[in-house]
Amino acid sequence: MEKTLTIINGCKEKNQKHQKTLYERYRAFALKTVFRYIYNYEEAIEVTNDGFVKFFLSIDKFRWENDEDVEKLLTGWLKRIMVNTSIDLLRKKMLLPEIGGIPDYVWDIKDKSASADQAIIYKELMILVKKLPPAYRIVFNMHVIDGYTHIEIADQLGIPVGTSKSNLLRAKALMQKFLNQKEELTECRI
Amino acid sequence: MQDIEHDMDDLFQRAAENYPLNPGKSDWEGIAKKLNEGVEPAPAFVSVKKTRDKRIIVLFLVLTFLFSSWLIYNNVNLGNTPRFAKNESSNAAGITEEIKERKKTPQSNSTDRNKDAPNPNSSLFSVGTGNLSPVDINTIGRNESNKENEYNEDNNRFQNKRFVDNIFDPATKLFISNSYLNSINTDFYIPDLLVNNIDGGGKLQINDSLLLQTKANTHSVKKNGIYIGVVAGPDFSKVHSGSFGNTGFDAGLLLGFRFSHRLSFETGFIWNRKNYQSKGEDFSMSKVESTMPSGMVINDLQSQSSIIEIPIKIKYDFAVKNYHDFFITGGVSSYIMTNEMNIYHVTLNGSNDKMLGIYKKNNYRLPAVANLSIGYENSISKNLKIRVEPFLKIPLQGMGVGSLPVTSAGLQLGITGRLK
Repeated sequence: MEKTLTIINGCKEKNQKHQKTLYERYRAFALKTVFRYIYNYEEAIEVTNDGFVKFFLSIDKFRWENDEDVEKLLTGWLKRIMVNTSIDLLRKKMLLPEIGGIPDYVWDIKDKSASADQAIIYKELMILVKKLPPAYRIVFNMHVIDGYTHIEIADQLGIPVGTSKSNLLRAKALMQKFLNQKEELTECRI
Repeated sequence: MQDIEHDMDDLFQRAAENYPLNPGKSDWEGIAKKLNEGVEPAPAFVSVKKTRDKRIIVLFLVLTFLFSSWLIYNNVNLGNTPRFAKNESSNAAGITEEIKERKKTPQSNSTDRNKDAPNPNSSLFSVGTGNLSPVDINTIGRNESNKENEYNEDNNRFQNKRFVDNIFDPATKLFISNSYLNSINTDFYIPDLLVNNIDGGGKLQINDSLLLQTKANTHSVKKNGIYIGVVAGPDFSKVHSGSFGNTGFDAGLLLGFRFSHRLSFETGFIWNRKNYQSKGEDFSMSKVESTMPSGMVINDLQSQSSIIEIPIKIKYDFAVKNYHDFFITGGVSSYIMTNEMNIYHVTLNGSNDKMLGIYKKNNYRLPAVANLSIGYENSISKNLKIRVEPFLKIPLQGMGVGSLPVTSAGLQLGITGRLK
């Protein structure tokens, strides 16, 4: 705890050593957030880096009341910046659906243990999320995973609340369809 | 039902937290650099790219300027004299030595005679202002000491134009006009050819054939050696019958080696931004079929690619003049595609749609295109040349994920400088 506070205060003083420590500590977390929104891995890395620059340039605005909550608040704040940066990119790309496979080097599955099996399931679920069209993917990610309300989503994306809700319903329907297809494929293989 | 939905949401939340993503390499240096610049990244990727393109262009222009300045500085200030620079110093010394030798002999006392009165038998005559005035051959060989004929070390030209206006040799009755001097070279000096024709009395023997030879020698001599340069220009690309996309751009460094009077070898690194459009039938699905939704048909696509081009070509100067020449080049270029973005117009399940494909993995094509060009080069100083070079690149292999045969045409402007 003490260390986190030291790092944050160091970052506020623009101390590069502390900035680097914070970057290294939260890099994987930030990339995981961004990669749910951004289809392409290399683009996701660029967006993550841009997000960190925004984060460090605006860290003066970061406030907390209780020292015990600082870590939670920090990750929440970082996640929000990463989500906003990702959405900016997707909007500029006119929310066009992307095609192209996700290469194997993107994944980090090293061992064959039970946790690896679970990791594969999680990976498959994330692939399904990424297969959603960008407009649905954003709402699904924001609402289901990142916990935004429909009002927040509508405000963030500049769309009516109703559109946010309908997009979420369609995203869930599509997700259900993908899962059924996957199930059918698995049955066929068996 | 709601519970199931809730469970699904929980599952996705856990998956989002724990999915096995490769965090990649740390890029702290890049972030630190941006932080030091204090520039907040543009909110959107596209505008970041546009900004990058602008930066690349500005960087290129700055580099071109610095490179030109460096070459010009080298030419002007480091004792590089135009044309006959290297011969001149030795010539001047040679003449001086020769004249000193002659002064020692009884026949070569023309200098003394000139001090008193003009002697048409041992002098050249300048007729700059309409009056004949003597010009001792000794003064030509010792310019530094003669204020009247002050020699400008910067450009090896006589500053006293009156002196070089007209030269008359009474012995041969030959009059060298100002216009002729200008036509052969406005720099007046005594080349080896003429020095060898100074007779025992210090008199310059000039005849027509000598002058013709002199004129021939004044043509710029192409020296073998390495030269470097920067080139840039617009690029227009298309695929078969497809139309041209937006204007592209290329810029890069050129490295050349002249190995004969007319032939050179050239290579380099040229960054290309190509925009082109293609019909669906030209796009090969073999590399991307597995990643495309089944049943999807590509009607047409717009592409934007960033490519590093490595040309290997032979340059032949077919019309060599004093200060300029025309040339043709032929060769092949290899492509390293660093980024490709395709916007597909597709038909999927009976409806038309747009889809985006971004491919960042490097894609090598060795060689990718045959490279043909014709160009014009102009010397702006002894070592420095500017060139204009329209080009045509004919595909030898398909390019990018769709193996598209992209034909390019354009114009390259450049500046090259010979290395010592």
